Amino acid sequence: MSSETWLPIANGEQAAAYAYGVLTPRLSGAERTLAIQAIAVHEQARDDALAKLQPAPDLSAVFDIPFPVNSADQARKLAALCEDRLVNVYCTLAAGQSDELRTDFIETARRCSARAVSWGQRPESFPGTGEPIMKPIGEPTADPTPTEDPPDSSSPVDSVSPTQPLSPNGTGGDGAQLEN
Amino acid sequence: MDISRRVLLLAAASTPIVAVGCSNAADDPEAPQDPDSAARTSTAQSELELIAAYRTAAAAAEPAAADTYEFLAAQHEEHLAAIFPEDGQPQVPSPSGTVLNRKSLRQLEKQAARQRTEAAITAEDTGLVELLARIAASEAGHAAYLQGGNR
Repeated sequence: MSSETWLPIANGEQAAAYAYGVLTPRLSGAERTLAIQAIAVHEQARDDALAKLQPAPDLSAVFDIPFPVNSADQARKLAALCEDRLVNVYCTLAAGQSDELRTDFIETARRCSARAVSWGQRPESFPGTGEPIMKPIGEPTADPTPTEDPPDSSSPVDSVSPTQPLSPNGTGGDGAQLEN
Repeated sequence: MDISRRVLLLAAASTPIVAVGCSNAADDPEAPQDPDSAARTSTAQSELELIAAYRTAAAAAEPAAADTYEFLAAQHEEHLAAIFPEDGQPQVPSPSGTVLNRKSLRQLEKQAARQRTEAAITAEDTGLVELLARIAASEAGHAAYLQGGNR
């Protein structure tokens, strides 16, 4: 299986895990629990994809969060956006795969879509057809220098510790509002 | 690329061969046959059944729920149009008269998502595979929406 299949998945899942690391501290209660579970889901998917890639790529980039995440509403929007973008990744890659892999990719897209809606995204006829907007900032480095207090991208779970909330300035990045 | 253009390209890429050109192509033994005809037809039939189920439920529902059902029915109409962007759509089935509740509609959506996944396995056209994958994802989203997960 080629890197053309697994690299976009590894990158997309890493972006999602990173984003959940950013947004989870803005949530509480059951939503926070769901977000933490989502981090585990996306990290596992990222690691599964990385295991298919030799040599494994460096995924230590810091991502450009498209809008500030300073509230629970903004956190839900970012979670929905990341899930929707993953729908696109898996649907685009589904064709040209073996039956088993095609099934896996579509089932994963279904789960991502359901999570996107559960986070508040309005259902779409053809989900995941928007432009990808989570892009790495600059080149990945072994020791990225934070510019606007981004979290540690390699360990997003660490950033969701209840005792270590993000600063009020949130995530870095001040992009456009989420398009739904 | 905006969403409408993306969907248009997807639909165009998966246009059934027999539906292009003259209307009696299916009767012409010389005409190229669509290897994905069965996947398209079964998907279209399922979409029509979902549309009928939502319309029936909407007619019997309170306004707020009726709006939700009409909204979801409209998305299934878009699925149908994408599967058969030209001529050749199957006939709308007769309404069953059975009014399904929210839970039953949710089960229908989950079943439909599974069926789209299975259809995508048999499909040969790569555009159709992607289209079916997106429809499956859409219907999984519908099921989540009916569960009350959407705020």
